[in-house]
Amino acid sequence: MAADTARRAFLAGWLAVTLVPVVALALLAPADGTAPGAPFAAVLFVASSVHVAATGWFYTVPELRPHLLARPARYVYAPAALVVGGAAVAELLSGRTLAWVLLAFFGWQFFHFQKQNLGLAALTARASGAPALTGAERRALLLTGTGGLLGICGQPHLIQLAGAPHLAPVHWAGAGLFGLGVAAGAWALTRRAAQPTLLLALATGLLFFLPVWLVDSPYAAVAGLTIAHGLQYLLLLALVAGAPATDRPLALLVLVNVALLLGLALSRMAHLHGGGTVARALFGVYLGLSCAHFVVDAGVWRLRDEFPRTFLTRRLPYLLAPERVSG
Amino acid sequence: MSVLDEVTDAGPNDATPSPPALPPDEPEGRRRWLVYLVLAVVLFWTVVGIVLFGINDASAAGGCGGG
Repeated sequence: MAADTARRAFLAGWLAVTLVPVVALALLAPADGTAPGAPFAAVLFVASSVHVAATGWFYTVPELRPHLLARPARYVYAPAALVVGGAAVAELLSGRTLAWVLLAFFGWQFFHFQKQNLGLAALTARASGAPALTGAERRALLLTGTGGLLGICGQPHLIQLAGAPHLAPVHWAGAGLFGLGVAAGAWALTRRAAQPTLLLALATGLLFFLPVWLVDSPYAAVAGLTIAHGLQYLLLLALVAGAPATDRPLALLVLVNVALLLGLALSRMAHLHGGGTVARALFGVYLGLSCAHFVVDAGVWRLRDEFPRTFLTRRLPYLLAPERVSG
Repeated sequence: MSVLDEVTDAGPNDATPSPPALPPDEPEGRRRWLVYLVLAVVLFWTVVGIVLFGINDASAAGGCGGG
């Protein structure tokens, strides 16, 4: 019964932290593109810098560290190379060239958003005892995500990226891919037995990027996506860190420390691109650390691999090892 | 005579003596509280840092948006 309650609470929680920011910002953000205010800045700080920094917590878990060190290519060398490469790129490039690099960076970021949505939909299927996501459902989710990132990167004012070219054909090609993905996803859903939670999870993932074509203000179109992604991540990480099988207070305290301290540093570095040599290098370090977050996450949550599956199942048994629903 | 000898010497009908209670692991407990203390102090100063330095203007896409 407790597992059932925890499962329901998680499913309701991740849907809430996804839908509320996306819908609320799309409807309520100022249409003239001004930021919605100080409390909003605090939420955005938590959902962007703090969530990226929280990835560092994985390196503090004694049980996980040997796994990370045994795969240095993904968990040590790639992050180090990205940080050094990021600093070099920010140092050497400027103006329009740097804007193109940043556009590619944001493209990767939004693809990373959709990979997380895919992971959450897969987790919802598993937690609710439904059949795993099909290839068609996965492809549809990735197609809508690709459409979304093209839709955003084609209109760089949506990410407030000065100096990047406006590419209306890319923006609308993204809309085409997004529509195709939604249609393919809807078709795939008709072949599934009706399970409201899973259908809602899949629909949320498929329609995640919809505001990109509905509203024109950066805060209305994109800030909701940024906040939703960050809060999804922090919710999952807090559950993993605070699992009953662990030294819960210590793990949570370490998580909060790592996330806030490194998050504060990331937040300070994120806007140094206009400064001198050292400032620009620090901005590059920020870019590298963000990319390292994408790379580490793509491995550490991968349930196809045995170690992450065992590690996460031990901590989230109510999600990953639920009793199967008959019928 | 060690605890092990006592157990070995005891006949089948003898009551098996309980092993002596281990003393509380005080150094481990102290180390644990020290870790909590350090983490609490770091957290306090991080929050002070956030209040003092403030948060950079919020960018819609997070991070380096707004450039």
